[in-house]
Amino acid sequence: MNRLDDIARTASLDLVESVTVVPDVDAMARRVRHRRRRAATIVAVVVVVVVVGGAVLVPRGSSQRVSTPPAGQLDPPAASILEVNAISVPLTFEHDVYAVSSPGEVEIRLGGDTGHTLAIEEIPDLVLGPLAAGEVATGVVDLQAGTYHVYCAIPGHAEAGMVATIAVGDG
Amino acid sequence: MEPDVRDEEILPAQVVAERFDDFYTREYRRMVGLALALTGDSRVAEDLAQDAFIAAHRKWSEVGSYDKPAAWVRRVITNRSRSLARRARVETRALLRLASTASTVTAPSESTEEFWHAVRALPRQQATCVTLRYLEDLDVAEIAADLGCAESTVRVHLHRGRLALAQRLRLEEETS
Repeated sequence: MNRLDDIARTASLDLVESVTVVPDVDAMARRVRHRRRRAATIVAVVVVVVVVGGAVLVPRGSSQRVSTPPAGQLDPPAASILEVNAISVPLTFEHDVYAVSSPGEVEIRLGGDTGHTLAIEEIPDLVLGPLAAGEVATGVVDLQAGTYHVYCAIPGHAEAGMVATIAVGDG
Repeated sequence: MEPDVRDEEILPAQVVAERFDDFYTREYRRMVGLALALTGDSRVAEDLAQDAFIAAHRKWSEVGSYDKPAAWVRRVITNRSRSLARRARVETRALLRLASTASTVTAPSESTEEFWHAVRALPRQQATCVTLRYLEDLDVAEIAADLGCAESTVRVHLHRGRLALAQRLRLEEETS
């Protein structure tokens, strides 16, 4: 396939040369500041909801649990647990938003219908599943305050609506 | 581009192998090119690349210590470009900026447009493997590491993708 290789390499060089954007570190810094402000706003909203609604916000019908160490416990707190159920008909996760009250390690447990995965856009190294029958796939992630976008990585599933958000408060 | 601004706003506190802004300056155009190849939309490509670099900045104390931090950013871009839900949000954001910003991509040649259009018409994994192979000049092992899959899987995607590309580009003699 020498001809295809030649065409591909020419097209690659041409494409790269067509990108005339100049990296702007100052603009990048402004975007980082903007994201921080936005994350802080989201955190503030989550905290208000948590304070008003109780110690821990649990989505409608959710099996999410956020572990809290007993008073006086000296060991470090265990990772919070976030249970996410995948649903095939229609293609979705059980909830649109999963709230975690404070940053730190969270154990995500993906259960529900078979054949689905859980990926987080902001944490590309993590993909749970695809689920076998009866399986619960687990993974521990270190979440900072802010929002994380969750999706099923099986082709077509995210596009069909299998997406959700994890909102992490600042404790 | 004052150094004090960069130090305060870009660099994480922890010392890493390379300064984030040096990495960003060196890799940004390439990553926009990768996103452009995968999406076909220059403004979406820029937003995807920016998002990926912001994600890298957020974890730079860790990402910056990797042997190949660019591979981490590439993976973020390829992951995000395949989420149409995500792309819809990015496209909306990009459209809002449309009137106020000049394009930072000049139109490539017609044959280049035709080639990348054909690549994007491939099944997603094939398109990603072909793009990383040609645009990023990665070998099979590097593509497998980037995508987190087996080398044999990459070989299959590349083989099928190249066959399909030859057919789409009417290189009949290549497929016979």
